[in-house]
Amino acid sequence: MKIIIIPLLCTFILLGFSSCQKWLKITPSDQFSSDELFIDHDGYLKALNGIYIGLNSPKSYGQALTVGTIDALAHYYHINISTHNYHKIATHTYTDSTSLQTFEDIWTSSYKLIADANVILENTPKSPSSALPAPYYSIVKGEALAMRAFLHFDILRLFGPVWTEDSIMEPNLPYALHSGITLHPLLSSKDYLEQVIKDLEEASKLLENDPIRTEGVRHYENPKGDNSLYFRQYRMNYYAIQAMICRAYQWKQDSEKTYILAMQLLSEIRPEQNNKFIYVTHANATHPTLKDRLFSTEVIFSLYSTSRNNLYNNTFSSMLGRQQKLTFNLDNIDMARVKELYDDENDYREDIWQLRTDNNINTINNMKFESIVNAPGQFMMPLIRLSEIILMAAESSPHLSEGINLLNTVRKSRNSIDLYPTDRNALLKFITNEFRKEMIGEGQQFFFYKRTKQSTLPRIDRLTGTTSMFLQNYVIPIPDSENAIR
Amino acid sequence: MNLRYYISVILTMLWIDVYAQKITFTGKNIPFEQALEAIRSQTDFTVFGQKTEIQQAKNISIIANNMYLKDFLDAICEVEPFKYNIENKVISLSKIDQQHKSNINSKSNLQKHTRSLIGKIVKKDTEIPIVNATIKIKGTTTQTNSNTNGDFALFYSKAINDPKVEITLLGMKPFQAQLDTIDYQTLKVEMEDETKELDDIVVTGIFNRKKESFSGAYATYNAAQLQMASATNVFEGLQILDPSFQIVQNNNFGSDPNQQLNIEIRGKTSVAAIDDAFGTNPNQPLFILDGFETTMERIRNISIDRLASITILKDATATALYGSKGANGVVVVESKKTKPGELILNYNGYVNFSSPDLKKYNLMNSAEKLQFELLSGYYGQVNEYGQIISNNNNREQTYLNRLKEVKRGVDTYWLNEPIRTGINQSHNFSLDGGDKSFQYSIGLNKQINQGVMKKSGNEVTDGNISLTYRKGKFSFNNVLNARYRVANREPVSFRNFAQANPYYRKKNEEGGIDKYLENIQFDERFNPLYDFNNNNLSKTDGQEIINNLNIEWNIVKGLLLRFNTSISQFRNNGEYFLSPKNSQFANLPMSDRGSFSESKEKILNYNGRATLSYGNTWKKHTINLGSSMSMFHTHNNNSQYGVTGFIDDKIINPQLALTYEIGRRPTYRDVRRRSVGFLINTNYAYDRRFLFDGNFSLDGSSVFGSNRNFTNIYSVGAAWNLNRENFLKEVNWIDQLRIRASYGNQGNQNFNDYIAMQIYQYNTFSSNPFGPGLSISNFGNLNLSWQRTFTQNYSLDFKMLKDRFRIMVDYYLKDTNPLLVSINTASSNGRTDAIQNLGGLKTKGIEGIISVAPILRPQMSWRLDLNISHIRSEYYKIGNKLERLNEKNRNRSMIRYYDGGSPDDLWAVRSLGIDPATGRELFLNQLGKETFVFNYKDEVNFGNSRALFDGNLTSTFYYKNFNFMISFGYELGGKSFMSTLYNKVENISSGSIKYNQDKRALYDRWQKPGDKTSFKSIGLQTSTPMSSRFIQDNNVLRIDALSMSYQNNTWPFLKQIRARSIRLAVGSNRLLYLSSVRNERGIDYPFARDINFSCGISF
Repeated sequence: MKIIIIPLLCTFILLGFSSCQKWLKITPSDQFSSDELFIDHDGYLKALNGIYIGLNSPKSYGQALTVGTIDALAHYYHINISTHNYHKIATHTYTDSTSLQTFEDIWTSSYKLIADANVILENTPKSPSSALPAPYYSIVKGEALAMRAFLHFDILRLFGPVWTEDSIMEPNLPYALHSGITLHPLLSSKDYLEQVIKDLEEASKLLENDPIRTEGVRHYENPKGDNSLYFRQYRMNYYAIQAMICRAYQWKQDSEKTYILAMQLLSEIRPEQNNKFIYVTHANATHPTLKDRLFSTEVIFSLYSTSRNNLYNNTFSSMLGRQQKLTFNLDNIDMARVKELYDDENDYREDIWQLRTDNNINTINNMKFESIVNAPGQFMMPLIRLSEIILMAAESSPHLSEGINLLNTVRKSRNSIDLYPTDRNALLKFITNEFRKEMIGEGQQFFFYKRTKQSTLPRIDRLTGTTSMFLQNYVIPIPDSENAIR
Repeated sequence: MNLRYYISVILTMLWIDVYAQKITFTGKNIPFEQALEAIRSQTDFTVFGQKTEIQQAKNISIIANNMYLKDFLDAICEVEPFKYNIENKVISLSKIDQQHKSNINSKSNLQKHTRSLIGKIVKKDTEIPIVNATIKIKGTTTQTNSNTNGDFALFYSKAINDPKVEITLLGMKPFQAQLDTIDYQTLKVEMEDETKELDDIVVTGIFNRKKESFSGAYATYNAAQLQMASATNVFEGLQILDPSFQIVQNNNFGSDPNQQLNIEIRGKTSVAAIDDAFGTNPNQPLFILDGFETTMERIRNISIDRLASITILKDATATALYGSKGANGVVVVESKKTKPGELILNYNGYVNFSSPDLKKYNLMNSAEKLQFELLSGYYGQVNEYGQIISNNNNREQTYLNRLKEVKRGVDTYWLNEPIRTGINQSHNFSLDGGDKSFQYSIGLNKQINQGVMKKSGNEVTDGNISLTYRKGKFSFNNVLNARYRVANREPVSFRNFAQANPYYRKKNEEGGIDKYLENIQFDERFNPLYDFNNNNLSKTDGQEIINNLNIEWNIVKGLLLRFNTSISQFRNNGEYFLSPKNSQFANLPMSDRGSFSESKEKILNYNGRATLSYGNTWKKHTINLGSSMSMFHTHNNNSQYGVTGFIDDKIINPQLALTYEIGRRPTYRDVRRRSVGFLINTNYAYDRRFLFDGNFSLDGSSVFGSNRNFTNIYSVGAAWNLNRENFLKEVNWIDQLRIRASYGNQGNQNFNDYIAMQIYQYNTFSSNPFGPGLSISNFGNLNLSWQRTFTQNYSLDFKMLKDRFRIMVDYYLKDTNPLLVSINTASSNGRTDAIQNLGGLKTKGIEGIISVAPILRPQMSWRLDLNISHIRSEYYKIGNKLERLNEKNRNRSMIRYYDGGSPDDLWAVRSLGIDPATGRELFLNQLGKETFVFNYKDEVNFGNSRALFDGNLTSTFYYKNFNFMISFGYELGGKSFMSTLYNKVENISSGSIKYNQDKRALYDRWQKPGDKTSFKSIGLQTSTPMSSRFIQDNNVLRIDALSMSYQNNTWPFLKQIRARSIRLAVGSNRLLYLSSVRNERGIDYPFARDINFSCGISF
């Protein structure tokens, strides 16, 4: 009896054991596990698009790193009341609890997206495979790498030191190369930037065959369905990566390399030779109803923000109270600040400043991000644009005359008269002004000041004039959620 | 029949020799039977004889005055000649039959050849007489029944060789005995309930093992025991009866009937303080009802009358059957099984009155409160005469207004407003019947529980049908259970009433309730009664339907194949409405006032288990083998939405809302979880002396993540029955002596579903032309190893002197290594916390039951049980990884995570008290120096909040049909954080001065130099850190249970209503709570004291 029983029990146990493994694999119906996501190119593309969508968060590029915090730091707006949402930021009071939270949010949301990118990279095969065939392989891997570099680079520009020979050798920022929870070592700014460039160059190689190089931005739907090779302005495309590399070298204060790379990039995308990014046309810039205030055709990389209308309503709208509104005059309709910035009154860019009357109150409003249905770039929030590259070349050009020429190219495209600075300092000053007009709401101005170590900035408490800026105020303290663990 | 007579009878019974018993009886020409009755009534002797013989006996005449019993018997047996025999207080009569002698020879032969058997049948342990049992000589037709006293007499032929008696009664275990071949034999029979078989069997829910051959640590309690301990709540009963079972008291939630209980068996195995990270309580035991996993809530509301037994499985050998879920112990509940027999209708019910226990509240009266406010400087600076010298924000006028009220005699006691005496009732009907092959049982239970706070309570309606069919080697059992539960919560927390000031009146002049008690701008005081009376709603209701099917096939003797399947469906609904009139909305625009939200949950479970077990004995070897395969699938789907903006609260209807909640979206979750388990269980016994248990199981779960689907759990155990050894066999006074040991690993699955999985979710923040975007919502930790608890258990069971004395001691060691802990990570990792394996937690504990029975006699017994439990735990290898948690806990609690510390330790900076000169607190720093500076670095381990020893002392007394029980709970040697001192005596911030406070804030705080007090200056509103000043020794004595029951089946009244038996009981729980500390108990909901009356009748 006993002899029969034991094998009987054993077979009983083994019965069906093999099929259980499969049964235990549960796919949540409202969520995806990474195992079941990275099985075809569709899954990879969804995960990658998650990063682009994630950029839209107001804590990140949806507000803080474009129109909000970063521009308040650059003293764009008139903030003369201490109860204003951005007063603590604009006065560089970084220890205040709201400032701490703001920078905490920027830091954590950027590193969250970096971690998302790292998970994609960790799940990407070494070479194109059946799960991820070409051309998706290079799109996914290249764009994920480039996004990782893009996000890291802005962390460096915001939380890193003002670039000096000493400061760049100090280890102070973590570069996240993996998604795990082991601590990322702190890198010196020099090494950190090298890593940014390394990622970008690798991405650049992967995206060599980006259709943007042959067919342009393709601002239209793919007739066959999937859009991931279309609407290239809204993706980290080949040219955006090249522009990022230029930015990195410029941040590295390597003007020689910056010049070479910027000119090289311009030669490939200069509108005269190759219509990749066309200057805004007079018709579009002055269109009575469908104005292209963003000069959308010049944008190399941008957010696709379906919530831009909300952003406008929460930050610029004429309906907003004084504590929330970002404008060039909180108190009345004195245009002094506008006049001070825009030297040429025919400048297309001045058009963003409009007088509005709501509730019988006249206010000056920034209309750049107003959502105009069917206008060009209705959902666009530019992050890299053509003029930045041109001004970069102008700034780094070894020849003054070439620099002036390049500056005037931008001005011409904006319907402004040419300027003739007599020396390099004057040129730099004009470039700074030009940059300020170009970049409002695009989050680059503060970095420009930091890179060029400006010691004076426009006042925020008055409409005109300048105030001094301490160099240490260019460095945002690293948030507690990072520091406390180290 | 006076008192003296009674006393003399009792004395007679107790002290005087059998033959010295005397009878006083006078009668002329009276039936023989009456004389016998006199013996029965005046002595404690029982008299027997064949009924017809006695009835037909000639009448007798006798004058007996204090006649000795023996003489009396001689006298009455003279007329109609009887012979009698006295043995063991039983008198048996048999006729000396002259007629038979003269008439029929054969009969005389027969008479010559009959033997008599007389005896008494009682229930084991309780000594209750058993009526109507059938007494039969085996192999013959000779039989009789026991009478109402359980007595019987039987005459059988001498011709029967090797006579055996068999006694049977439905529902009782049959009794058999070999008879001696003597003419007169007396027999005392103790019969046991058939269900009492459970006493010999360990119900593990999967395989049942004989107690004697099981080496695991467990404890079983039957319904009667639980009912005596607590008629209303099985968990409370278990806590009283078992030293390892603990309901961790929550001082905030008190006796809230709708609050989840926090239950621990043998302490903690996980880091509990951060359980929100896991979604479930990782220290909660597993609950099993009739073989299937169930919820705590389900067991909490189960009617005790439906229970057969509850078994607590404690160590690795006992819980190994539950594989990866058993680390926190298992509570196995078995419901009553159907029994063949005639139709029985049972009713059981109770009414329970619960009243709030507010003894520990020590709130100020109106004059005291106002004085406190004055001295604290709230109205402005005060000089030594108590006059306001610098008016603060025009508050002097406010002071005078309030003073006017106080002088007018306004002194409102707010605490009694929201409370009531809750009346809880439970009615349980059951109908059982059927024959040997088909049985059925129908049960219906209704419970209405009112909480001690008005508007709170719940109602449970539960119905079940059980059908059993047995045919040959097969048996089928199907139980269908449907249940409906509604729960309502109180709209305003009890805390708000404790905070209301006594110098306000509850009602205005017209008798109405105002929204504002006092309406000062920016400092409105709201009336908690107003909110309480608004039409708020917090209601949940749930339906569940469970069907369990059980098929057994007895293939050959000892080999059993069993299939269990269970399908259950739960639907839960929650509706929450906040009236727009509530004070919380007072300062909001109309459109934001009031809110309504609704939640829906749908759970579908499938369960299946196939079990093959084999057991057999060859000579000295007994072997039990079992294997089981189980699968489990659950699908949980829930959703929630909310709307806001209401104009009125008369009608609660979401359609009347103005808008959806701004910036919030409906939530929706759909979670499935599956697990499988394979189990091999072996048990071997040699000569009933040596026993071995071994278990191995392989558990797979979808929770474990794809890389680690399966985990293995094992346990080994051994026991040695010393009392069966030759060297102790002769020692008669030892009933049982055995030692046991076990070792094994236990798993824990009480963690969030996806902690090891990387989960992507749709990013709904924005959209773009590239289709959907997914981002990681849960990084998970793919390299997580599962939390395991290695458990060792050593036990001693000792019983002696016919069970007069018992000792059961268990010593155990639990080592959870590694722990699963949610730790903070650098945010550059893309997240701020992550679940990791870290360190370990070691727990040592000892628990014991010492039981003594000073009286153990038929019809009367008295037993004292002392339960003791001692547990100490210790973290190790944590290092400084949890420093962030320690920081977070600062000023919130005294719990810290350090190596060598325990989860219950209180960490604080040592305080030297208040400096009499300055009124400031003096501390002792790490160097042992006095300082005014408080520094968290100086914290030391100041003691353990868990008692050094705790348990219960229970006394049960049984006399005839009465049962008395009293159980004292004690906790000795623990420390307690004095939250009332901390929050309501000190630390009264300028914002909370407006709330009522503890009296000691006025009387015991420092006021002027030279005051020797324990509490800092009354004028200080700065926050005080948690120092050792707020820790006190806490010793507690409670009366957990006090109950009395009476059971009867012989009342004439019962015959009139055609009932079989009746049980009446009165009991009380939490009657008394004495503690050496004065701390408010029941902050958000008061504790309750219960008194209940219960009744059970069966027809």
